[in-house]
Amino acid sequence: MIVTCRDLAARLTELEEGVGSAVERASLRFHLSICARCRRYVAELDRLKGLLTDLGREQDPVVPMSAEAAPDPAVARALSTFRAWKTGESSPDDD
Amino acid sequence: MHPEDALVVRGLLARDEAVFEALVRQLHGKLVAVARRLLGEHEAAEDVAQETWRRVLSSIATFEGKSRLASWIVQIAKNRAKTRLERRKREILIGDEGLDPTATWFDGFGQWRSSPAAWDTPESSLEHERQKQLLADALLTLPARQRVVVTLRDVEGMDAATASETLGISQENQRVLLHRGRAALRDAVAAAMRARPS
Repeated sequence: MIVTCRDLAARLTELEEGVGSAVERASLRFHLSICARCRRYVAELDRLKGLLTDLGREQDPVVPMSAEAAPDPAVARALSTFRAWKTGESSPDDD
Repeated sequence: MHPEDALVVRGLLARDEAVFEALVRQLHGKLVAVARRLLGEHEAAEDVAQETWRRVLSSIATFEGKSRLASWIVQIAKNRAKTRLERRKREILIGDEGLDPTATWFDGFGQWRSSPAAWDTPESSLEHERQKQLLADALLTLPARQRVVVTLRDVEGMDAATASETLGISQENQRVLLHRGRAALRDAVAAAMRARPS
């Protein structure tokens, strides 16, 4: 089975998830072992995945630059929820 | 419980509005951002953030401090966004799989037209943060299906089977979307890095 760089890029997620036949996976790995450009692509993707994982850090998730600080109407809406809760008028959760 | 969180929890239990407002101002934008990665629309994400505050208030007495308070609140928002995504996935995940960004990467022989340039490891934490911000922005520009799959798999760390099941798509489809989404992000970040003033 001849694997091109295009094949490798398209099937990396299969390799990552361990799907496909053993022969197919071995062919992809062999291509990687002889192709420096594809290894650089894999290194790029690894870096990308690392950054994406960082975005999801629970305590301090990264927000887009375009994100606004809490706008006043949103704060006012939350405070209205708070006042209803404080006076015991809060509606039950909608779960 | 972390001492700072203990102070906030005590304030909330005492129904101190200033404490609650400070918490909202600190975290609301983040709650909207994490929900928007899954739901796309700002309005739906804003609704999730507001639902989160309602849940925080109704559950604060049960917060045990096993995680930081901010983590607990962000996790509530993520769970609510996922629930909403599952309920409304047909509306949210409209559109096709999006174009394959890799179509222009290769020549007629299936070989790279130009060598991938492995990104430099950032020299400073500031540069690292800048790359993450670029990525956070680029994520929101992806077609809905790609954005949601990349978010569930790479940002939230969900496994392939669970992500496919959550979205009601085949694992093969999930792989195509993940591949295309990552490729589009790679192009977006590479373009932004090339455009940066030197």
